[in-house]
Amino acid sequence: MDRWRFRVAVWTGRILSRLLRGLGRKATTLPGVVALRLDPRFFSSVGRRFRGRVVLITGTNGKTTTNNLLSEWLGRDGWSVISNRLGANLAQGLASAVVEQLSFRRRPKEAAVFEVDEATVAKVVEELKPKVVVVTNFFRDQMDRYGELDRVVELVAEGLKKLPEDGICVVNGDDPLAHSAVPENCAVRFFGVDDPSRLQPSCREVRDGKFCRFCGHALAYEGFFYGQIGVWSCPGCNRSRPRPSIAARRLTEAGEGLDFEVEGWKARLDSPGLYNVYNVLAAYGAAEALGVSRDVLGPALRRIRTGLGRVERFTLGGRPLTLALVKNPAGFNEQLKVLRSTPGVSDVVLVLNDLYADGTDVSWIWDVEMEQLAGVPFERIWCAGTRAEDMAVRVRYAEWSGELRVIREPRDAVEFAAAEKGGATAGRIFVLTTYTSLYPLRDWILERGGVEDRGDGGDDRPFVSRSTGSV
Amino acid sequence: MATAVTIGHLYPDLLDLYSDRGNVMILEKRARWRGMDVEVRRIGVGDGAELAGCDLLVMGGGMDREQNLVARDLLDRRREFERAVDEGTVVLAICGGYQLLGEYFETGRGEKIPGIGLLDLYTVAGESRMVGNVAAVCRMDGREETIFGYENHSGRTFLRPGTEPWMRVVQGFGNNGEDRGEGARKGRVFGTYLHGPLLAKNPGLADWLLRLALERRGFTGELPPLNDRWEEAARKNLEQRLIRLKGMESPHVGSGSTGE
Ligand SMILES: [Zn+2]
Repeated sequence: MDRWRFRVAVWTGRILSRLLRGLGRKATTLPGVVALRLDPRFFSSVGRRFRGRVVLITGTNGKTTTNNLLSEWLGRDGWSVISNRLGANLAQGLASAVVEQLSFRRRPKEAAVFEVDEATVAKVVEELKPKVVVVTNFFRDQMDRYGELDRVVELVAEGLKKLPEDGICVVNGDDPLAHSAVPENCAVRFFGVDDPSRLQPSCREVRDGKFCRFCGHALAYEGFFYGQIGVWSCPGCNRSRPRPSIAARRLTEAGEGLDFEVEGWKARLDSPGLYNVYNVLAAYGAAEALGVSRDVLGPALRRIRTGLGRVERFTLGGRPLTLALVKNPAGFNEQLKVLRSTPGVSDVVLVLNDLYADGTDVSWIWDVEMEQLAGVPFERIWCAGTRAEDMAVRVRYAEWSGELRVIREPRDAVEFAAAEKGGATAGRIFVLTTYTSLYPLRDWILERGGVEDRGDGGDDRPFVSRSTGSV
Repeated sequence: MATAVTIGHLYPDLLDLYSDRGNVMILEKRARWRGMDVEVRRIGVGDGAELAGCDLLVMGGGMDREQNLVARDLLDRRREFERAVDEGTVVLAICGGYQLLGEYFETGRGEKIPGIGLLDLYTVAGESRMVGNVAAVCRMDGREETIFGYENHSGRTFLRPGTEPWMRVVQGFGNNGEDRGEGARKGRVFGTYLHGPLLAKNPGLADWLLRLALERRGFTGELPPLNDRWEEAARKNLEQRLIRLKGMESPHVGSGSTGE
């Protein structure tokens, strides 16, 4: 009975999905809604089918990158993977991914890997019975819909309490908030950066989780990696940052990327963001927990690409262009660090939208350490998007001294920036955008003849390609 | 000698929920850009810093845990606070800070967290959150100006008879979603639910508060104008955008849950 119901739900959803795509519509939500309506125990069936091979990835930043890395590595090891790669991470989005990708023929090695919204974890964990739950980090993000950060951490903690007995948490131990979400008596592996040379003595950025969630005491720090992530301890209840069992060591800059070591393996990342090192560790921990062979993981680490719409490089009209998503202060701060360390940037395009998927409250740009821009010698900053002027005001107060222009339509701003011949240089265009303009801009760049710049001509990009915008 | 101004940033580590440091940054830079000497004092829980030495005190909002920590410290400073205000210090409190300036905050469980009673008002926890862009008309020295901000609060604030709301809501919820009042003013003490940060898109209000604070230093002139063209453009854009968004604002109000 159950099985019959599940099959009807999958097939109906799949037909609907094909119809929608045939009509040129996105199908990341509606097929899942229908499937869940037809079979209210839909996720139980998915959980049974993939017992011991379900991975949920949650947290504020890095879910998509971790998901893509893990899916890629599983693929290399011969697994077939179903995953919500388009980033629709509520229950409907998960169900839509199942509806589209599930094969009724069982394979010897198969897994279901989902990135899951923080508030959705507790709703699906009992049915899906995941083997692994990854918690990346917690930062202030879109408070217009999530509410207070404390509450978000609590929601995830409630979800983790419902983990099946053989389940394991893979958690960022350098983040005191992620650490605090792990219930007692839960199997857990902590990942973290184990490189004291990377520790900053203080943190200028707006910082979350300043106080212990257990005893309320202000946390003490040996140093910070970024945001509240660092080597922390609580003088009140003696909790402290755990020694990471999955650790990145000996970090060094390597061209535009980073070299480091994971469990004795040499790893090379194609971007300089420290935050991506954490995503690599998260994916590594999950892959290990699933039993992926170290013979596969080791070589995979040697060239890690984290592009996939999060940070991608293109060439547009002869100009190099970087496109990256920014959606909260912590992520924006990290992108600004990448921007500062990228040579030859002449034009920066900042796109700020206030649609529902972006967050309707644009105040968060004032929590971004935009002052990092002062003294960086690019020629122009272009502000675009539905709230372009708000961004211009923020840049004004950062006292950046170059030329500031406002153009509503993001494509026009990039177009003008690319056509800009004036000034001393026509160098790299660096585009930072909120969610709703990311994929439209990416599609437009490719339509305009932009080509993806893989840096070294390599061909082993992750197999996931994202081009359709979905909300 | 250049004009000097001292801004006290109250509880910058605890009350920083809605980009509240932006207001301090804006006041500081607008004074500095006019050649004034500006000192910003960060005042935390248990600090000995004297409130009365400040021309302007700014206080933001925090999460429940942080607000409780601040509430205790504020009570200890009550007399000091009153003396500062008597001597001409201007106070601007946003959201949670605003609630703490009132008589009390009553939680959903009926527990009353005492405020310092600088403003004659009280706040009661509500079940749904009031979230979204706000346009409100504010009166400053007889002149009226539209203020743009963003609100996100579940507390409903009610003013005692004789206490004036600071602004009148044109779009949004304001103090309680019922009487169109937004914020409260008593002499030189101002409280509001509007963040955004409040002063980013309202440079007129920022300068007016600055000017009021400078009176304490005997400054009576006019502030030289600044080039606020981006602020003006932002105000114009938001005005049009609010008309377009009207009726479809904040589909999530009242749920507190997430949705795609
Ligand atoms: Zn503690």
